[in-house]
Formats: sequence, C-alpha cells, structure tokens
Amino acid sequence: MIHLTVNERPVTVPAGARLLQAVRAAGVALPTLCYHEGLAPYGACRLCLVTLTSPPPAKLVAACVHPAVAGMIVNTETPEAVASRRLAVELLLSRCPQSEVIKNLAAAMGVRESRFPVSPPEGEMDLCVLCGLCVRVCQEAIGANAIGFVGRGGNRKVSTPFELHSEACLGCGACAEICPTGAIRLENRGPVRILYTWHTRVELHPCPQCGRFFAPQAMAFLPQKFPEIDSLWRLCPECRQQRAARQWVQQQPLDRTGTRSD
Amino acid sequence: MEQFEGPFLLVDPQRCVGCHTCELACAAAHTQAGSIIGAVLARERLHRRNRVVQVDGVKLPVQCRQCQDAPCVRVCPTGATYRTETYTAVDQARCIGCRLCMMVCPFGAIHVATTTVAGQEKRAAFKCDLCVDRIGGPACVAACPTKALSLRHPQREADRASQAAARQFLKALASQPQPGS
Repeated sequence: MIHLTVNERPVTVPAGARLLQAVRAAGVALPTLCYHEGLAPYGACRLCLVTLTSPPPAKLVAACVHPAVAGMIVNTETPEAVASRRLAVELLLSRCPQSEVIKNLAAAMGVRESRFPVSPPEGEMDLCVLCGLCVRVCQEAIGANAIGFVGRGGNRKVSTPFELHSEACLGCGACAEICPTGAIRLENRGPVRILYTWHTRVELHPCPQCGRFFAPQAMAFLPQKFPEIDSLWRLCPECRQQRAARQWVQQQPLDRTGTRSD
Repeated sequence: MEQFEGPFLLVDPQRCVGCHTCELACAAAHTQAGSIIGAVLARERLHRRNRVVQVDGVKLPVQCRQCQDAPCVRVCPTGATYRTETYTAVDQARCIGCRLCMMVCPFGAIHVATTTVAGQEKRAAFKCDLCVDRIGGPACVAACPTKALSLRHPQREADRASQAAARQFLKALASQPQPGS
C-alpha cells in the first residue's frame, strides 16, 4: 500500500496505482475522457491535470498516467491546474462544439465558449475528441486491430486502413460502447450490423429458433475456443434462457397435469 | 473434494407461479435507493439480472448458474468479469461493452445495458452476483412468495443426499428378516 496526500488529505492506494486512483480515493471528482479502468492509461485528454507539489519542483502531471509513489503531495485545485484543465476543455470545445458531453464538461468547469475558432472535423467524426479509447479497446482488449489513427496534425482521425471496409472487424461494438462522446455510429439493420464510422458492415447470423439476428459471423471462432457453446452460439440470449429453462424443467419429476409432453 | 464450491440459486418450477416478483426484487436490490419506488423517484436505472421465462406451460426464473469454470470469465478481455472463490460477477468500471460474455454464456444470463458508474453513463454487462453485498442473501430468494427460489450450497446438498441414502439403507436393513429369527 502507498500513502500519499491529496488536497491535504491522507490517502492510501494499492501498489502500482496511478495518481488518478489516489485523487478519486480522496473524493475529488476529476473529470476524464480518455481513461478507462479496463485499459492501460493513455493521457490523451489532459482533463485530469493536477499539481504534483512534492517531490519538488512542483509540476503539472496527468493524474491518469502518473504513478503514485509514497509521500507524494498532490493538489488538484492550484490555479495552474485549474487553468490548464479549463484550457484543455476549451480546446476540446473548439474541436467538438456540437458534443453534448463536451459542452456539459465545459459548463461544469465554467467554460461557456471557446476562444479558438477552428473548423471542426467534418462528416462522421464531428464528435471525435481523438481520445483513442476505440483504437485502444480494439487493439488491447479485443485484439482485432481493425481501426487506428490516420493522418497527422489537424488531419488526424480514427479510421480503418485506407478508410475501406474492414475485414478484421469482429462487429463486437466495443468501440461504439466505449466512446465517451458517442461519435461512433453503429446500427443493427436486419441481417447486418453497420458501423457507419468505419465503413464496415458485419453480417449477423439469425437465431435458429426465433430468427432474430444476433451473433456476428466474424465471431465464428468462439465455439472453437469454447466447445461448451458449440451447439448454441448462434442462439440469441432469450432463446438460450428458454433452452436452459427447458433442460431444467425436463429434469424435474413434475406431477402437474399438462406440464410435460411425455 | 472439489475446491471452491460456491452456492447457487436453485429454482423449483413446481412452486413458481410466474409472478415476476424476483425480477423486481433483483432490480431494486441493485439500486442505491433499495426499492423500486425510491429508485424511480431518484431517477435511477432499474435492471433485473434474472428473467422469468415460460417453457411448455411451466414458468421459472432463469439467472446465472455461477459456473465454476465460467466461459464469461475466460472470454473477458479486460478482466471485468471475474470469479472469486464462491461467485462470478462483473466489475462494471472495467467493462468495455464488447458483449463477448453475452456471446459465450450458455444460459443467456448476461445482458449489456446503460448504467451509471462513478457518475458517468456507460454501457456495461449485467449478471447475477448472488447479492453478495446484501445482508440476508439474494433478494430474489427473500422476495419469492412461494419459496420457489433457494440458495443452495453444493457441499450441504451432497451431505444431505448421502444422509438420505444412509437412512434408506438402514430402513431397508431393519425391514429385512433377521437371520435366525
């Protein structure tokens, strides 16, 4: 366990923790966009900047990536830290003026409008803050590597290779679920799951019992890794529940009339 | 002896009347308010982890079976679905919403829905956690009006079965004619 001080309050965090855990353990609600507990810290959004007073010299660090070390003194409310976070959210607001999430974050930090008029990214990615969560979740967690950053500087954006249909995409939808601003458009339209943002269409298997489209065809490798679902991986969850219930009922010595067919 | 045998929920379909009280109790037990009305007033989201289904004219709730070698735990890429010595559960803060656990659950006991974690809205997996944080055990068991649900411990069930077998054997022995009589 590591003992450190956050806003003059003693905090204890487990070994290997980052400063953000310590800040949250102290009860300080520091906003984040690019941080996710299930993924490696990244430090892209700069909304978690705090002042690290000790060890000297005092410096601004991103709490989500900075490792917590015993004896550190952290202050989240110094004028520099507050101003830096406000600047970060102002820059995000100039990039994504339509995003409700960014607008609410900015309003909570006292920023009404941005002083930096830039032409926001056009088309599908007008809500993207380039936090990299979708790229990281596809690479680190899913292992599909279907999407990545393309372009440089102001042209940087997230897309599939050559901005074409991705063969690597499993159609799991984790990128759309994890996106903090809801920039990724995913739609289940009949037998296809369309990821508009990635120019990708994933075919879905119909449930053999109810016909509802559920399992992406690209996940056909799952029954090889999980032999126990070999016979049922195309079933939708509702039909799996029915199947489990029927198996259990048929094992019961039922004596009510009309409850058993045999 | 098999290690780490945890309790599980046993359903007696003969007692279930399909009243869905267990679903309501489940949703209420997993809110801050602790009750359906309180959660609605506090604008909390209500999610049940079990579902009453009807098969061949019989109704019964279906929920997580607390698999020992759980496919959902093995498939989870971030370790959000985890297994302790006695139960499996989801750490929603770590969940990325990839639905792989939903794909591999043989019982359809996991679903992905919108929730609020640490003040932020996100989509995460939901599954039965046997109400491990609730004093008095699972809320569905406590709420069931016909006692169709019960929390069973495998070791105790095995003990009970062997006692019953021993009793049956003794009874059979006593009813046999004694040699020499």
